Amino acid sequence: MTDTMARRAADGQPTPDSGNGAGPEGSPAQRDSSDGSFGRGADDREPILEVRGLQKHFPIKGGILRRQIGAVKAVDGVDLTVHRGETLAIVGESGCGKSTTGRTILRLEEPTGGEVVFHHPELGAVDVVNADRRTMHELRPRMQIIFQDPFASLDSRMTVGRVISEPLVINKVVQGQALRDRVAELLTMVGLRPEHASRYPHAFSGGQRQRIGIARAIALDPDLIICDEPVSALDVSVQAQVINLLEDLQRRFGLTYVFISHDLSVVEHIANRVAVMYVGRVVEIGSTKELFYNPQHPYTEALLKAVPQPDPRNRMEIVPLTGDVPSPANPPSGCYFHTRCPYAQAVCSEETPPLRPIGDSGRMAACHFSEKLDLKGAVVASREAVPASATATTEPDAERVETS
Amino acid sequence: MTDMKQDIIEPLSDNADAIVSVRDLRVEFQTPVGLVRALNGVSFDVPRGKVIGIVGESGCGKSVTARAIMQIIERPGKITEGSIEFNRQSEEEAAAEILSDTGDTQAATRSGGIDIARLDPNSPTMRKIRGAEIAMIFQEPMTSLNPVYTVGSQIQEAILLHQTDDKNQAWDQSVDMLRQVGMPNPERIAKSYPHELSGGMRQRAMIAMALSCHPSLLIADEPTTALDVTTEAQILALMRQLKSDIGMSIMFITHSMGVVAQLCDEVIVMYLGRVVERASVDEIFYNPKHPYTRSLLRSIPRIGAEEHAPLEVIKGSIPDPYQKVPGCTFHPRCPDYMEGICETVVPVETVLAGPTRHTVRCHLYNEADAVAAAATVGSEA
Repeated sequence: MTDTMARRAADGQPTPDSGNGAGPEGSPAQRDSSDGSFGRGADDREPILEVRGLQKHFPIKGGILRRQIGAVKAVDGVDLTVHRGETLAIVGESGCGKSTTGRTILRLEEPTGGEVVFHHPELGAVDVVNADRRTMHELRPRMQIIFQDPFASLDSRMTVGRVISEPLVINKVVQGQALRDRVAELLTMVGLRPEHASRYPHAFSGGQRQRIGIARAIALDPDLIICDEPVSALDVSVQAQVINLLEDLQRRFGLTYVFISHDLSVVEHIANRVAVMYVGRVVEIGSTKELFYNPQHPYTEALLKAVPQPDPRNRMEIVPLTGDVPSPANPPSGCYFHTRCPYAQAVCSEETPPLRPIGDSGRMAACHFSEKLDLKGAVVASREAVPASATATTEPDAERVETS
Repeated sequence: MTDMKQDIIEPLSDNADAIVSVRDLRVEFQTPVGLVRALNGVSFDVPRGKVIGIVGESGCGKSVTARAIMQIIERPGKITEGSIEFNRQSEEEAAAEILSDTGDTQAATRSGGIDIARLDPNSPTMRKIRGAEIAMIFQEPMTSLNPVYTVGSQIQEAILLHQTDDKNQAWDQSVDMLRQVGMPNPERIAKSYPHELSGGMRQRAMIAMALSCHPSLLIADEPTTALDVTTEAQILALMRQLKSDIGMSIMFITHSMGVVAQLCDEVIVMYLGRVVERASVDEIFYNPKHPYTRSLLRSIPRIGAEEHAPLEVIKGSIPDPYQKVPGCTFHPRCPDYMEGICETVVPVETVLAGPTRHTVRCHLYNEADAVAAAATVGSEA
């Protein structure tokens, strides 16, 4: 048994080898009652990550001397709190800064301003932005990332075994036979087989590669994983497998996810809380249910309205948002959304609405008129449109790989 | 069923007013690594004035089908068998008009259409059809627009090629097309380069270009996949408007069940180079028959579904293209797999009884019909 497993066993958590079913039924891990419930609206719980006024500006250089003439404000003052064990989704259109937020939290991009506080199990609250190299080295194993493109995020010249063992080697966790055992264990955990360690990434399908990426991310037994569009590049039938795997791992190891996605149906399924971003700022944050069925920001309403419902008897009247997303290099005055907002008034182009609490359930929205507007939530597809699962078998979702 | 027999031997029996009738289409790619059978006998009709959706996951052959109709399959891909009958208008002289100009008379079909599969991709006839009669828009608007020409001049080029020799008139027409697809300030957009436009605007410019010669069929190959939901909604609204205002026939390729439900009249579900099910959109969503269609619909996350219930999954993944799966290609992943038949016999297309036309290729539904059909058609191998 490796150290991490021993620690888990001591914590009374199920060890990975107590069952390799990645499927919903084969899993030995129920929602840990010892760890509190995984209910939604987990606001009273212990924070693991606090982001305050986070900024990331990319300089625009021009002129003969290549002096800075402006900045793309990709992330412009983001406030977020992530609680231990929850899934916080960040949604928004492309270019809204959701991926940059994720990368800046991990300091894969150096933040321009603001603070990121990570609650390390041993070191306590650590300021990530100002952490020195040694502290970062301590922090990195606790905060991992899963990337969007499973084809670009694995080195094609490294065997799967090396890809997964690299974090273990760099952090000097295990070596020798113990390392090989740990890799085999990780592969089993994500629904692959130990013998896959000797193969190269090209031999795997998109879904299997994403599993390898997940195995690498959980290798060091992290607390927080930033999932940057982990299922966007996958086929529909494989997407469900990976979502189930992520949920299963979260239950087994008490992981915390920051789930970055543009797919609202996936987000509604996986997230406890959702933050909506627009042009580098958070415009609304709240529990998934509240945000989906009682949005408080016109942009959230517009996003929800645009999701095509898989129900032909419920054809929505498409009233698309007019105009395009403003450039983060040259955002409009006041509320950034006022150029496209159907409810915009004079004040919207003059004053920037702050992200302020709405009600007392931890809901926040950045709109002058949240209370006055009667915004509509998500349209729910008819249950009848879902074929009955009479003929379906709930099998483990592990992909079968031909051994040939 | 006699219907069955007619369906294969005599095209158009079920849908007299089809703009394109594809019958038993086979496309193969002879690669150094092995033979890839991209299409394994695909048959369907594109009804006139309607939107037909082609759904399926990567590698199912939906894009190859579209490219076969346009005759733009990349090498070494080849149409090896089958027919693609194109009926420009309801009247019969339409085809003759094109064919007499070029002399490709061998491609004329009995019902007065043109068999695209029999045309050479570079023949004058094909070049007349491509763009002018059948137009296509692609998934990634940035790679399908030329970055060194303005949007207006690219649309103008298509108009000059097919419609008029007058450059000024062609330019005015291209600005007008941009206006029709809902571009704000079309005069300025026409003078812009593709990189100056956002993703949604580029896709609209592509649609304007595709529509500039008033084609009778528009093939849209995943036009919204690379776009955000809000932009996707704009394109869907535009597509609906095209259908209702000018009665455009649209073949819409997508993997999004939501888009299909919102836009299409009829749906074709493809899996590994075969059509596994085709029916009206309502039937596909409310009465799906093929285990693949059913599993696909169950595996998509839906807003408003039961909280935190695990998603149902289709086990395994799509086999790689070089692998030849015997029998029904879905059998290794099928929840309703029946030993002894599914892995040996390729199921035939069965027409189900019902008010609307609904066909499915699965052994679950063809006890009596399969025998009759197998006798007439012969076994597919």
